[in-house]
Amino acid sequence: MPAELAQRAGWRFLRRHPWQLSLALLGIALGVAVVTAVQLANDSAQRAFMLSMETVNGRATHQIVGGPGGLDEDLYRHLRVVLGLRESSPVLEAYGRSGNEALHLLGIDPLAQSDMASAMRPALTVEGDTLTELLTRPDAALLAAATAARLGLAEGDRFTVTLGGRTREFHLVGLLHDPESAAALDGLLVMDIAAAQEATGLTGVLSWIDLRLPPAEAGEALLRRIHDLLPTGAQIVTAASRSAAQLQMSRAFHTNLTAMSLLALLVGMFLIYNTMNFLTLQRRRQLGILRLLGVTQRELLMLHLRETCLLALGATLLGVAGGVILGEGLLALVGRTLNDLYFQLTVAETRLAPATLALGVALGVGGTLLAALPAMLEATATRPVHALQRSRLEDHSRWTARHLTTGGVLLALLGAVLLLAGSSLMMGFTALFLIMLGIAALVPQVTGQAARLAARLLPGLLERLALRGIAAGLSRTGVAAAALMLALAAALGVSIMIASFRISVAQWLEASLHADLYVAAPGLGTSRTQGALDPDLQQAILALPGIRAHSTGRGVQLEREGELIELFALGLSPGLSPRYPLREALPGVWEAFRAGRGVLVSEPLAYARGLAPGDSITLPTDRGDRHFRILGVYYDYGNPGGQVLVDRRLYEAHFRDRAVGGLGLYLENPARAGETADAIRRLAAEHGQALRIRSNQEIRRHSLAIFDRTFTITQVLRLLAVIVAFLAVFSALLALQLERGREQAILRASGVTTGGIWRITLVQTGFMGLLAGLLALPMGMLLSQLLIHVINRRAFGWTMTSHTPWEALGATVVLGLAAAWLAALYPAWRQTRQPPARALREE
Amino acid sequence: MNAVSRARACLILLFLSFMTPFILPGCDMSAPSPDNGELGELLGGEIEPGFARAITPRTFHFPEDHGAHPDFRNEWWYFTGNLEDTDSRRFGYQLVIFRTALTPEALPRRSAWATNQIYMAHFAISDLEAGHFRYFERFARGALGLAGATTDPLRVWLEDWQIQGTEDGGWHLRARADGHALDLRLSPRKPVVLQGAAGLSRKSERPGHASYYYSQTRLATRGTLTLPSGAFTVAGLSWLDREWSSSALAPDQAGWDWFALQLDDGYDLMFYRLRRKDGSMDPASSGTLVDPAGRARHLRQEEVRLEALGHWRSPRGGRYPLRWRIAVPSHDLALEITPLLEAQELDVAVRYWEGAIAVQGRHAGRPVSGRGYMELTGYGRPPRPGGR
Repeated sequence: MPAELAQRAGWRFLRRHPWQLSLALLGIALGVAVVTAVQLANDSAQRAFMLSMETVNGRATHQIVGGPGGLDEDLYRHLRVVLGLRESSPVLEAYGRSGNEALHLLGIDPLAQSDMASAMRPALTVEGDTLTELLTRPDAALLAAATAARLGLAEGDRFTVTLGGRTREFHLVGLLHDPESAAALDGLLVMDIAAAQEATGLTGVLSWIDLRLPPAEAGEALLRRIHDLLPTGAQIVTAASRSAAQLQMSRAFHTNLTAMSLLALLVGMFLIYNTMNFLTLQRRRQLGILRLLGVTQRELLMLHLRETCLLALGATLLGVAGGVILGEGLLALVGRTLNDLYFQLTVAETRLAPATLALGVALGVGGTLLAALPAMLEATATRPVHALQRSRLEDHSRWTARHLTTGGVLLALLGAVLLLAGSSLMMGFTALFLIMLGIAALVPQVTGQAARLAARLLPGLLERLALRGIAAGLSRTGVAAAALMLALAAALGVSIMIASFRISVAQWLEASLHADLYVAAPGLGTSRTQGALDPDLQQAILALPGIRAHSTGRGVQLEREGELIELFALGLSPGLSPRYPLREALPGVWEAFRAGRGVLVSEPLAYARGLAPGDSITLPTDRGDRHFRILGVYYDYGNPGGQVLVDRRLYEAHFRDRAVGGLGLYLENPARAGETADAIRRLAAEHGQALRIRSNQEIRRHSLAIFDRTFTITQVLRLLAVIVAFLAVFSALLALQLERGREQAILRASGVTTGGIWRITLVQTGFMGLLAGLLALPMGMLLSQLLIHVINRRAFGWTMTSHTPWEALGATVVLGLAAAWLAALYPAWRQTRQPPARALREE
Repeated sequence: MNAVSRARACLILLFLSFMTPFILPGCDMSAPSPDNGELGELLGGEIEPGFARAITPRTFHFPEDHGAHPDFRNEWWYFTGNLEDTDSRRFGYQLVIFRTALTPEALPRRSAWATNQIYMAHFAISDLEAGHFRYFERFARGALGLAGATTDPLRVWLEDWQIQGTEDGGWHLRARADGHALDLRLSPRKPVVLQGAAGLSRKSERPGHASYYYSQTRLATRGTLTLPSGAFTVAGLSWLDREWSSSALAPDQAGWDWFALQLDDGYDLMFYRLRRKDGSMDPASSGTLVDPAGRARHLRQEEVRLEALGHWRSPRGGRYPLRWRIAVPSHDLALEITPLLEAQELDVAVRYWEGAIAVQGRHAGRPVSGRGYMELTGYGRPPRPGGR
């Protein structure tokens, strides 16, 4: 009976304080929403990737991949005719565009597909005439039904596709349907392999050969026989390792997103803590009375627990729902970044994985309970008589603040130890969180000391009253300041990191881009090779007047033991010397490079593999595996997966590939770059190959635009964290004001005007905001250094010079102050509006 | 007149009409056969314009004509045979490579994969003692060396299944799949027999509804057959049918029964019966009797009496007449045909029965026996209401 009474009392209390209830709900919901959204975006992107790999790989167990020039198609004949390997199927892959749709072109042999039973299987059930058309018409193509619908195409229609800068007209002879895997098929353009070779200009080569080998010994034996057949440069890898290698590239990116989302949740937990604390404290009197009425401690605890759980669950569900909506938006950003940096991907659908849902619920409910626990224990453990006195509580909270300080120092130390002990990215993030939490735990103590100190220094009575109020209400003010500090510091740290990163990238671009004009063949985007410049067109361009020197570039992707390696072959015309910004190098590095005595590796690659100048790296060349001496390590922010730089002559000595992907043109008169670009455009039109022509400024602009785009998602997450922090301050102040109602009523009764009350409020909140802002400065700087030197390095292997944007520091303090004052408006207004007599009567 | 040409033209066209939904989803051997289509409905109608046609008799040149005739729509190299190992264990085999032109003309194209020629092959081994029948089906494009036919050297292949010409005018056959393999050398015991009228096998009154057709009716065979249980050194007799055309079946025809018999008195008999939908025998049905010296006598439809004696019900549906009485009174020939194994049905893109048979009877007053192969099509679907 008393328990029931307590329960009813609890709900009535919450109903009477809708603000508190909403804030608590909002805090939990926002935190959960951000985590869910990021998880959702990550999952959907990865799932889309796996699906597309599955569609492409079919049921292949292994794949034979070639060197940069692709795989000689004759190998396939060998496998079938000599080895009698039935379960094999050739694939030519390329990427193209039609309208706004990115298309994934797969050239296949429909007759071989029958032996492989690919995942496309159900979709490829076409009628007899369709097959005849597919096999015999050079322009026949099949499109995923959903993609065709978006392009407004029906069977029989003609449509144009841009492939490697060339526009091709195709005839849609059929649609790929499969309700089971519509998402996996989306974006797929399927052609007969002959037509695909002709459309891409890649006659004679395959992207890879799918194999399905029997398990165990039989498969091993077959594998050995295939090995003997492989031409040098070709290798056989398991299909799973290939997908994994691709996915691996983007893993650091996903990890970073997850960490950012956890930051939002962490700040959210402060909000929850504050709210729950407030709710509990507001009810101390009520709880004390309930205890006097015979409700046991245990019953009260259970009651609290139930309330908190219900609240948490409700808010979490709200958060998950919000997260799904937010996730759709984030997914677009994630997808764009993946396409910019890693691989082409059509993410057609978001799916809430059960694991994501579970994570959101666990974090929401668990986080809430954890954050509410201290308040619950506090309130229920207090003896009924004490519950009626507030000073007890504040004495207690000062005591707690001291303990918090000790705990914080320990946490931060633990974080530091972890930081030094491990080298993994996850460990780095864990350390980062521990350090941040540890430092945040110091804030209440610092706040109390600072307020008392300031109170002694400040002259005005009201000001002193205000500051003493902060020290007295430390259980609330301290935590609010900590939450605000944490959010501001995170925002500042991320800002500094991004600014440093951006400046490093800009400097790197400045130092790396020397040519006046860059001409590139738009890639077919095959996972194997970059687009190739038409050799005739290349000759014609180089014959243009006004070109004083040129460089050639060829970017290819190699694969060795399930790892992908980007290789860039640099050719320089006489008189040019390579000038890549180097991090470290052997003496005489460029002479040795030009003489083909070794290669250079990019910083991310060097970091990931622990390479240094003087070491060697093994590359799968067309003549088999070869070791190359590493002459130096260069800065490179363009290829997160790492890159090997090789001189063109050395490249040609080891690879059959003679294609050129791009040209750097050095003009006699850089001011006339526009005219030269126009001339190149005309030549390109004559040769029927669209080219990307950019001046070095344009490349710089474009690169930085991609950079900014990449960090859009970070900015969004940062903003969300600040919003949550603002709510935390708001809720804390509201609580403070409501609690101080009686004191302020006494003040007003003693002749303090409404203006005076305002002044007290503004001083109190201003002090907290200012303090949080100031404390956020060193904390933010520390955080930025951790992000720059630990997280980014571990995630991507990049180093960058740190650069502190002073305006960001100022902005942090201003933001702290402004947030605090803004949050104070409503509570203060409410306070002054209330007749003092009413507040006094309440006691 | 030659119905085998028709019959097999039907077969290959049927395969091609139907293979698409089967090929692409993966050639599941247990995929249901296209029971829903009538051969005639599918294959009747006009010959697609643009393909070469068999209109007048031609002069055959060998070995050139052993190679492909890509201007014609369909062509095949059809080997069947009865073999025995040293312990008199009996086997039957079938190895056939079909070629089909998807379009009359091959466009000039840059990719080595581009072609309008598609190849299909069936390979079957009947282990008659154990009562096991295994068959395999393959498709490949006639490009990139995956499948094709050349005359110098004489070779027809679909991946690692291949038929090679030998110096004595015979053949070397090799095929393997899933533990089953054959490696056989065939040498002719009789000259090439031109079927129909000097190799022109008419299919209806309309010009162009005909094929070019020749056979090697008696090929002494030696080699190795491999089953999962082991390898067997075998010897026996094989039969080769070669045919190319661009024409299709008449709308009123339902299927055919084809017999190739090798008798122990040195005679070989080929006969096919084209069945009309109304159950009657098409007048285009005909045959050839080849004497021990290789002289061929054309048999008109009315010269041959054919009677089904017993049936076998396929577990996949349909009822095949597997026991027959065949009589050619004009040559004093009367034989009874019994299957050496009932379950020799191929459930491939189109379901049909093709298997080893034994014959027993009398010829010119003396008892004879022999071996042979029989092909039965159009039974693989349930009878339609109102049909027959």
